[in-house]
Amino acid sequence: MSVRSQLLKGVLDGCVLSIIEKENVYGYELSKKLQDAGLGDVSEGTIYPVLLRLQKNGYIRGEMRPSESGPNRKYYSLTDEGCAALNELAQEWAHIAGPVTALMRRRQADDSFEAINRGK
Amino acid sequence: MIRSKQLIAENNKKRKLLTKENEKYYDDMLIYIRLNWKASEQQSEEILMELLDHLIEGQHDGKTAADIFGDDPKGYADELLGELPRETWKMRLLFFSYLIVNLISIFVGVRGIVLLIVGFFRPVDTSIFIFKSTLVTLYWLLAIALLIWFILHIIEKSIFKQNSSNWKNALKAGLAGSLVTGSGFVMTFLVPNFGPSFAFGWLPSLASGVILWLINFWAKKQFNIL
Repeated sequence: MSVRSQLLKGVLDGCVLSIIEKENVYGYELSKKLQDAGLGDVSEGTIYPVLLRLQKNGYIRGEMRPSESGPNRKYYSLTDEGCAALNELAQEWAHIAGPVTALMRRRQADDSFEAINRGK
Repeated sequence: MIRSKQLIAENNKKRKLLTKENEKYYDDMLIYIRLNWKASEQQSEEILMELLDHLIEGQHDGKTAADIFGDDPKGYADELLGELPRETWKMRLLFFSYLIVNLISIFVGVRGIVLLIVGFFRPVDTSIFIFKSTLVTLYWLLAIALLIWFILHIIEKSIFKQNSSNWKNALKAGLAGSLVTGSGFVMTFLVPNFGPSFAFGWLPSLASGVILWLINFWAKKQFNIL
């Protein structure tokens, strides 16, 4: 598994939830939207175990119904619990993303922690 | 909700749209997931339909199943099975009771017909010895269950393999089947008639077989078993 997909594994749940929060999607649409968001490296199939897990946890609800183009599709929508989980994830992510980005940037520039904190 | 039976029919139709290479990949995954009787049937069929739809759309863009689901179909299917909800105990119990009652009703009904036909040529003893019949019935149910398990096990082993030998597998299944049937007949002759018994002629046998089968059939429809 590539470094990138290993990193993504932990946060993919949050990415999927945030897309479903905006609109109800079915599997193929979801993978397209992840690609559009720049996460093209994620193997498309990885979303299905994620979708199953999120359903099992009660974060999303899947419903089979006819699509605009005809065939039946399973559309996913966010539940209240899913909304709460996404809020928490987003908060946690904000706590992690800033410091991690700063640490990675430090490699190229000024190398003291003070500089990082000054930069905030 | 679209029932699993409808999904299976739709799946059969749509699978024809796959290229040969993609169909092999998908079929293996489908069999592997369907063979797992612990996973909820409804949920299994829904995810299988989603994977199929995705694969068909991806195919239009020139992608292969391996591009979409990765190079390890078994690993991927295991990952899905790990997340699929379990079938409820109620559905499992209904399913197995249905199979058992179905077998018994057919056996009792056929017994009636055989007694009728044989009765034309010579007098027949229609008595049922309670202990022996219970023993023999239990043997058949257990033997058939083991046989089914064995065959499913062979199938499970043969999927995700490039060149698994079909005739060897067929031979294994055939041998197991003969063994089970052979021991069954030997047992019927070896176990002596003893203890309480009652007469169970061709008409009551046939009638109760048919009635039992009909009730079972109704229950299947009623509870959406299978």
